[in-house]
Amino acid sequence: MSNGQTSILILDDEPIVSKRLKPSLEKKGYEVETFTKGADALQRVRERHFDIVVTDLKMEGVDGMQFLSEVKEKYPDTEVIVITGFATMATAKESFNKGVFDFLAKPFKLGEIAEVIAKAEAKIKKG
Amino acid sequence: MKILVTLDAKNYSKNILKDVARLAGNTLADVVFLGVQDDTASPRQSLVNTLLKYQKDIYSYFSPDDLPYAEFSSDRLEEKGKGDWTISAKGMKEFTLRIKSGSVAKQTIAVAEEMNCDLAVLGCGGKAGCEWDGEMNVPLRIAKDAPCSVLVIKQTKKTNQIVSILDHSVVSQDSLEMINQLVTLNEAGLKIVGVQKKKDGHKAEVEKRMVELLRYYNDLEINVWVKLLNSEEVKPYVTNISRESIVALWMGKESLIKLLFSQSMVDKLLETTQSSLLILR
Repeated sequence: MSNGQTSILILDDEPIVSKRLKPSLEKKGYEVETFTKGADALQRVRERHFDIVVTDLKMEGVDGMQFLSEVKEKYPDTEVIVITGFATMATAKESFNKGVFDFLAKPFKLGEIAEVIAKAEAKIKKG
Repeated sequence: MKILVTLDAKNYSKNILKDVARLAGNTLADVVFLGVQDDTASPRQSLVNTLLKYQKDIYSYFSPDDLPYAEFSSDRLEEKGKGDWTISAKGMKEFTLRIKSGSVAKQTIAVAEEMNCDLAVLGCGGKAGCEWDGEMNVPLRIAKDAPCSVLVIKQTKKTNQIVSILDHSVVSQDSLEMINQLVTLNEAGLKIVGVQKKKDGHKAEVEKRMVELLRYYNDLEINVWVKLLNSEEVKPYVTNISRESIVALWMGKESLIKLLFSQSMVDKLLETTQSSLLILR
């Protein structure tokens, strides 16, 4: 958390997701970086720490589960929120086993993810 | 995802619980069970008991370690307003029972708007059509006016195909995502049917839309079957496939399908389908 601003990385290969989320979250005072390619997002998390990572699971050319594993391995304190259009109980279970903070099935309203992000932020601030 | 499920004590409601549990389990959704009664004085005990029984049925679908919902602290619903009672429990996800007085269709639409839900779900009666106890055209009226997508479950038989009927108009991302969740839930194949008016210039637009969708699914490494129909072929085609498949109709404001499928046609479809009908918004 730099300058008291919570940093968020969003990875979803559908540009519309970032397009909807980024302005709404920035308006709430978050520092947001968005990625549509897993390799670019992975490169970025190797460069710097994010407080919260929001990631899709099923994307072209990248396994979201592998991405979130790498994030949690490198930064155990980063809260990861999974968003997926192809939700199953098994993927939810696997995500929670890997330590994700929450699991949201698409479609969801902006208010719903904003609420989850606020809870993750509160958890981080609480330490 | 937020799911609203409207229920009463009849079999067409009881029969959808397994599907609702699977949907809630897969998507880890916040769920509201809504019951509607005539009187405004107090929540009818029989309806409270029915909803509590349904809640237990849904919870029993999960193993204790996987249950994302908490138990209610009591069985007593709190008054939220006149003719409006509720009880909620927040675990990892929220589960709510709500009872309202008035018309089933109107109250379902009102609660869907209030909770900003993504999907409204309800059951639908047997061979004689799709009537709800004591009120005419409930599924049809909800499908027509709900602010969100509506899933009407007619029979909970296993289906292996979802047929999504789309046209030239912009298909919302939410609609695609709702279809994707149903495909995943049913482990079903997906067929996308494009509808074009025979005489006008929509053909190129429909084809463009189909190519975009093919690319979208190709990127996700999901196989889809694609079919293009002229508008006059749609009704017989849908009536035929609805016996075996879940039909998803895109009925947004600008939708050609909304024009093609008059309310009576949707009603007829609800009557004849042997599976489920998803109205997408």
